[in-house]
Amino acid sequence: MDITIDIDNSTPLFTQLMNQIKEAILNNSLNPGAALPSIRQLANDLDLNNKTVAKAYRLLERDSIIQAKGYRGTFIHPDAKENCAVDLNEWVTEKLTETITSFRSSGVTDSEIRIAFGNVMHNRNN
Amino acid sequence: MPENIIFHIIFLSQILLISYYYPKQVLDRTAAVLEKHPPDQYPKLYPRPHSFYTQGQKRYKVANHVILALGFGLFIAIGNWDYSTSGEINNMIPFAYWMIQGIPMLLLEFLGYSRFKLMRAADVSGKRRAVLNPRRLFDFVSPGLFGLAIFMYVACILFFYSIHGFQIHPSNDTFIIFVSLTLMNLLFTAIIVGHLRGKKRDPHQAHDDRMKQSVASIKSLFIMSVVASFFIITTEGMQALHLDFYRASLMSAYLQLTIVIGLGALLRKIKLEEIDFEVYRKGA
Repeated sequence: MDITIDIDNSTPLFTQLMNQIKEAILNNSLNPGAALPSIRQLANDLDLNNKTVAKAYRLLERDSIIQAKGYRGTFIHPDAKENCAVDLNEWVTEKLTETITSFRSSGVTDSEIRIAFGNVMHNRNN
Repeated sequence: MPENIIFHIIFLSQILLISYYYPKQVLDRTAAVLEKHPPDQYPKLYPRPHSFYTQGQKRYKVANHVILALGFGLFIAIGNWDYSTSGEINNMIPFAYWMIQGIPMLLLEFLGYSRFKLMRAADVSGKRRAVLNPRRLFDFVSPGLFGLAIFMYVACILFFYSIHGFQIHPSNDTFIIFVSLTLMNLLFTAIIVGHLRGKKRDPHQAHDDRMKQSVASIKSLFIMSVVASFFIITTEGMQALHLDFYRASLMSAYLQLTIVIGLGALLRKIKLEEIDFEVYRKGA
């Protein structure tokens, strides 16, 4: 299974990497349990920074698309195909829209929402 | 002395094998590449002008011819010395000559490095490709050969320990063998790690070609490690059995074997007609 990264493309390199791994899973080029190259190997092969590949792997692991098994390496998650269909960005946008709509209907102003959101994001009230 | 006649035959083989046979193979291969894949059709293969490669071929040929002549001179000189003195031949003679024989190969290796560096610098394409398969040691070498290399390393150290004991001192043979064999194996390990995890030297090389090259190199390194341990044990065994007069012959045979295992294996296993040269075409 080949992977191609275009450094002139405006899409971030780690996103290109994630998208291509997801595509490979969806079109059965990569099956559950298949081993992936190490971060260093892939970074060297693509002439990328180790941190870029590590970020892509970390986000894929968070989404349960891949799983790291210590010294044995990184593998495709058994539920990768189902999890590929879940778009976390879309889910966050949907949840935030619902929440903001309910705040507005309760009379909260946009500036109050922004301040509260900022406080929560920066852990000021926690 | 019959042992010196044996040495002459083996040393003649060293001269011809390393300074005639393999250089001829390398030159024939280079000439075939230049003829079948010319710079106007495969520009990515030649980061320097065409004349640079033809001149390089000539220089490589002349250097090997000079070393070949030197070898024949040495061969005659050893023969004369042998008949006049009937003495034992120093085993450092084939080693010193082997070092000289290695100079053109070393220069070729340096030129290869600088060529790949220029190829990488000239590669302006924004697209980078990789294969999503891990490269693991046992994809390249059998567990048996891996185990044998470890066994021979340990056996060699234990063999010396049983004869000389162990002291951390430069005069202790076990210590010298332990340090030199460990350093050699560490160097081999670094090269193997480079093959498994390192950057692609040739930016255009096809994945299958890279894998073939890695398999040939890694296997060769493991075999070299086994042979080196075996050679050290045999040399020491010969000394213990008072067969010192065969040491020069053994040294020459061992040095030839390193070239057969290294360069020879690469030339044998990586066939020119199987290399994907299409990746070096303009716009490929």
